[in-house]
Amino acid sequence: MSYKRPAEGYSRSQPSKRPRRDEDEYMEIQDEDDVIPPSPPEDNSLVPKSATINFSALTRKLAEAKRTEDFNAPDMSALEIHRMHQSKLVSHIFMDQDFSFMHLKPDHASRPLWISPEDGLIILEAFSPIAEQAQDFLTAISEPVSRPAFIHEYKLTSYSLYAAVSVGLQTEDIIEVLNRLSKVPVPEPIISHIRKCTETYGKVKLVLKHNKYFVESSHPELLQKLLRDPTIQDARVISIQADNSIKGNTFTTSKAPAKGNLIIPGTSKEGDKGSDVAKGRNNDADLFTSVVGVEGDEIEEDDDNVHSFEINDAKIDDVKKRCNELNCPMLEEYDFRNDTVNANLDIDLKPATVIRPYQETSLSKMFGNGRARSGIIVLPCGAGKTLVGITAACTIKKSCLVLCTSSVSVYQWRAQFLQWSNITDRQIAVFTADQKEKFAGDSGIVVSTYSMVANTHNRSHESKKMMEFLTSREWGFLLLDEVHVVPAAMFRRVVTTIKAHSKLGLTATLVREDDKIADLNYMIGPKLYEANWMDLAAKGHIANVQCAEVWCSMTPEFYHEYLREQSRKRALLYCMNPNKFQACQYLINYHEERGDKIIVFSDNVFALEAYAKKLGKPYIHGGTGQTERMRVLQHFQHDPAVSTIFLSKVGDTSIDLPEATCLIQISSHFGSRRQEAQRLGRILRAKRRNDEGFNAFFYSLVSKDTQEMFYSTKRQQFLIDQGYAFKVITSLDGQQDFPNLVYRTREEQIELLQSVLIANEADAEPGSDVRASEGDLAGTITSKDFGPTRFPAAQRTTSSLTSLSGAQHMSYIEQNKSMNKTLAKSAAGSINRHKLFQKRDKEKIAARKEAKKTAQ
Amino acid sequence: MPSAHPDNVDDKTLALIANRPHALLPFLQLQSATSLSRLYQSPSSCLSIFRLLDAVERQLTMNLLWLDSAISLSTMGAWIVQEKKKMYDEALDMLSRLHILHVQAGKLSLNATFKASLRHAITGGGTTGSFGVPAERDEKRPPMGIEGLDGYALERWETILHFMVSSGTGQNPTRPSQGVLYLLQRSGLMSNNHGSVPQITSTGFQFLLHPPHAQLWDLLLQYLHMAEERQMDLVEVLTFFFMLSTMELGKEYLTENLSQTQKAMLDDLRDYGLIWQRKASSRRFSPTRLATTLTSSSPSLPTSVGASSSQQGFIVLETNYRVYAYTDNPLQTAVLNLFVSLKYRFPNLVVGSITRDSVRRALNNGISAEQIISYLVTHAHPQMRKFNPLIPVTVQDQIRLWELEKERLKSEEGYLYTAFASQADYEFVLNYAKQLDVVLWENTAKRCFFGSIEGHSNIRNFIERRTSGAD
Amino acid sequence: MRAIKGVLFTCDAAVKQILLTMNEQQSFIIEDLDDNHLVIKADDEFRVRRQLETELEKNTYSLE
Repeated sequence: MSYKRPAEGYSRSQPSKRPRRDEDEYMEIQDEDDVIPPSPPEDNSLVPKSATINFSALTRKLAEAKRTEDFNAPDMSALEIHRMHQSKLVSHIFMDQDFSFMHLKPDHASRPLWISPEDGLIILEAFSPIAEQAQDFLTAISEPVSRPAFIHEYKLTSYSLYAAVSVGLQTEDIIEVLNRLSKVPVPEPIISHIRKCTETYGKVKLVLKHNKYFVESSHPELLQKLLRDPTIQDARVISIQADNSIKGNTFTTSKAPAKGNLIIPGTSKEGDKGSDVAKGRNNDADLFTSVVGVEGDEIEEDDDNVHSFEINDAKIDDVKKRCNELNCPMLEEYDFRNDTVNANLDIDLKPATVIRPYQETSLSKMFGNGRARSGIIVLPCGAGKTLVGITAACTIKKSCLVLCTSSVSVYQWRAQFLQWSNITDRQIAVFTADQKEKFAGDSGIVVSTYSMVANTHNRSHESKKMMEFLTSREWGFLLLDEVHVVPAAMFRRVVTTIKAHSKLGLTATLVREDDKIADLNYMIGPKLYEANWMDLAAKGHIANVQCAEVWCSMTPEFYHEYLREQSRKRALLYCMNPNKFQACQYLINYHEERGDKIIVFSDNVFALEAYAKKLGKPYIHGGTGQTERMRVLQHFQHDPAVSTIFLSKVGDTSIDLPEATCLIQISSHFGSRRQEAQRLGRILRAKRRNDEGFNAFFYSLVSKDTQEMFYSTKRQQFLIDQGYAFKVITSLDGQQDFPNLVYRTREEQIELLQSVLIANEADAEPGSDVRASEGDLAGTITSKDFGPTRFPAAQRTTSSLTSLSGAQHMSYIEQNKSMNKTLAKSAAGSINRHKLFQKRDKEKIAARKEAKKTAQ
Repeated sequence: MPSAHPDNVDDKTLALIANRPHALLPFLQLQSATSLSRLYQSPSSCLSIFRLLDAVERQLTMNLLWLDSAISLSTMGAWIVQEKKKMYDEALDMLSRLHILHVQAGKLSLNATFKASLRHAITGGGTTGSFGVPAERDEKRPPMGIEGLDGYALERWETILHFMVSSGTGQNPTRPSQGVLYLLQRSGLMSNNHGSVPQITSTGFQFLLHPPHAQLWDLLLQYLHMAEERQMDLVEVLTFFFMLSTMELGKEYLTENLSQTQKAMLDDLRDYGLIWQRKASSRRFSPTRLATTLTSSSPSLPTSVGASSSQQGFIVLETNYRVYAYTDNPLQTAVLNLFVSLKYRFPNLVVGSITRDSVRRALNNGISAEQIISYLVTHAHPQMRKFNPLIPVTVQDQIRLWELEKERLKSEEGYLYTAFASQADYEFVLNYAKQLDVVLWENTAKRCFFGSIEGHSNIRNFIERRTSGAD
Repeated sequence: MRAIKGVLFTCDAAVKQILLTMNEQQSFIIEDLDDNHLVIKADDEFRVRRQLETELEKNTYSLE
């Protein structure tokens, strides 16, 4: 069968797409094979950069080759006939994914990729000499699927192509570069898919002018087409002013924006020092600069006039969605340098702030053409997403609204702004349940949470006034943190109520199965950049991590109960498995002796307290008060005697501990791939990551023959695709000889089992400790964190309160004194000192303000 | 990381494969001194056997080859470093079992026939025809070129293997000749229990993962066993194999000087792809690469014609269990399909994953985790050699764990003997059962034991005899 | 003295616990010997093995 699909497939390719080409240029195709990337540089000059493949010629050539082959068929050796026969025999294994009929280019060995005609899968040899450039290109046009050591997979999707166009790539460039890199000619279905997805992309823009939204394009026929759609028609606002347009009474027409030289603060191009380096790199990447769009690329502007119509802000979202469906997604770009209406914000990175190359790359995708494109940047946890956001704000220099998932993050963002940029206290305000501030002056920054902004009912007077402040003005920049957890409906509310010229979404894990990509795509914009984890680790930006899954067999008694338990308490039984307890104790001891700082994660609060108390370690969960929390964290950071802390889900995102070098997970949220990645992220920014030979450790303790095994494998999939490998440890060397091993006797184990059996079913719920406070996002803090989320916000988990008191398992807990209390006793002195520090800080700030005043 | 894993076995596995004596040598050891003596009359046989020996054995043989008198053990022993004494002893043992070397009265010497023949082979004197008789060039019918021979050998050889791997898949591969089919069944690689369609056995599946050279010898050894049954002269069969192995690829040889037995072998050898003949009745034959490399370390299958990947590594295995195999060879693809779940096929690449299901399927077919791993190691792509161990430890471990998973429950049919009247009764019966070696489980405190089904009738008789005797 | 025909199962502790649970639904165990051994009715072996397989399969996540 495989031999029935040969060259005919290509003969249908568009013979007349490029009518201006004359016969002479058919010659080029002969050279095309010599001109591909690995060929000597002098050859490059022979072919103009803009040269594209002439498909009709290629088709002809291929067809000819095929014909000769057919002609020779009778002469085929017995071996060839035999191979053909055998080839057909194995073909069935692949069903419709047997692409062996494709023709390898003669010099295929020097080209790094294959393309599947069926589903747009791209397979890249990551060891090819030109792999790095190919990766740049592929991350721009496709979704990374897996990126382990040798061979990477990417997938072309309509979203990824939309993203490609939005960063300035053009249809023919995409096809041309793809063909240069490919071992096989780009299959016809892929070419037409690329054309279909990209020809109308980026031709229509959504612009905010004087607090009104306009759909803008230099292609009037496209606007006409959109206006024929009922949804869009319905959303249109017919305004009187629009009538003075040049092109009659349909659209408003004005001059297209001009480009200029934009400098992103903190990047190497800013100073003279860096420019040589940048140039050198650009020469290397010569072939790609024009297409990858690192430098000042620009959307084609064949018409100086742009046309537009206004749409109703309330329906902005419907229009965006509809445009996506019509294969005509709207590009959101903000020409902030020419915005004279909105006041500038005097903000810049502090001179000492340096941004890393990949942060720069991600920002260059956003600001590639001198304007701010809306979209999403994906960086691993610990790779400095915050700084990317802050740098973007410093580039745009307009009023900025930052939305995050919890009030804890609000304060962290604020602190980070103050740390990295020269923004002053007065220019940055927070809006949370407890604090409602406005900034002073015409421009500034507000940091708030999604739910504070999206919530519509039960608003206090103050909140209402604050919302009026937020909705009445135009924002230059809307910065959206952790976009993957925000439910679509909440986004919708935010996006329709807040008028922002440009939006940047940040996330670490865009897990594809979420189906979030579609929503995020029209509500924020395309994914502009996604970093390669292994690459960042290899370059020392994030720590190297050894991952292991430790299998702990269930004791017969625990397993007996587990098998008979149908309720959620099953989970409690596999968390509290005495063998897991012992493994945890052993690992803590092993790593403490190595000098590691260890975080033990448990979603289950019952288990968290039981473990922490039994092993004499401090712990923090949602019920831990702020003072106690700070005390525990400080000890962990500064006290050599406290090397291990236990954290509940509160530690997944909002607690930053760069001291930690080892992570042990004893209970987790079912099969959440994202939580696994987030937890790994806790040690990626380890302070010691640049020490020679440094490895951080990530253990998952899993009870064998329970559901936990299923979840554990599932959880790892995202990281495995990023190139991490989980080593299975079936027994820990020396664990049984370890002195003072807990629950060694059967009696102790049975006593432990009793305590589990009398516990409430609610104790088995993961994450029951974390109660949402007003303003926290439902999906991020409560136990529903990684499952489906519901709107509106603030789901309170009441069942947890009893378990927090510890009342039902008093008999068990009393035996184990909480380490937290011990710390509290010893902490009396340090609290005073802490206050002293605060005082000193205040004095410092005052002095600095004073100095500034005198300087002016 | 504190872990309890055995160190990586890559190197050990490879070393083991390398150190194992050639499969033919144990067979030769079983032959009588007279047979071997006849065999050693042929210089080509001696040269071939010499090539099958390992380095130490060859060294010893060379040391003795040009000596005219025996040498004392102590003189030879003086050359040996103490730590490597074991290797030396093993080499001596191997050589004497092959009757190549004699130890008499503390003196070492080579078998005289062997010595003469090997000297002969090395110095190139004589015209005994032991290296075959080359045919005069026939201008009207030029000999088959090397490329043609390679193609022919590959086609024959792959037809055999492909027939094995495709059996039971509902496909319809080319059938090899009856003789080949018979050989496959006799060697236990395929079974013929279910009527006329032979099915691959678990031995057959394991066979498919072996390197071509080993596969070829597996079959030839089987051929030798069959030759014994058919009362063919073993020495002549062996001599012919060795003659082939010293012939020159691309040359034609005459059949005239062959013995009757050897002439009768021509049909079989043609079927296996070892020799090519224009017609069955032709008086000339050309050995293929399969034949000429029988006793050498060169690849036994041609390196051109698309099979290039079979020699150097072609498999990339990633930590995410993805397998990327650089091959356009349908046979290699079919073999990979035994334990990989294949997804995509490009002109020179096959893509798939190692999954629990794909490995379990292989395990159920009788392939072991170790065999899968050693296949992956042997064929690892040059890029993989950047890493040590060659293939990701996590994947190796997982494959082994999947194998262990299958062994969680063992069952044996039998009888539980319980409710003994006294401890003495219990011990008496138990001891008897132990003598029969049928006790699978016992517990003195509970005074019961479990015996296998095979032992039951004996035990029952034993108890009955005892009971009646007591009455 | 009695001799009871059956099948000796040798297994790890967890598998034994699963078998004990299965036995509660439909009895097939003749004698519980120790932590790793059971004797079951010969006729039930196939069914028990299949059911055990399904039980263990529940804890396995497979790709695709």
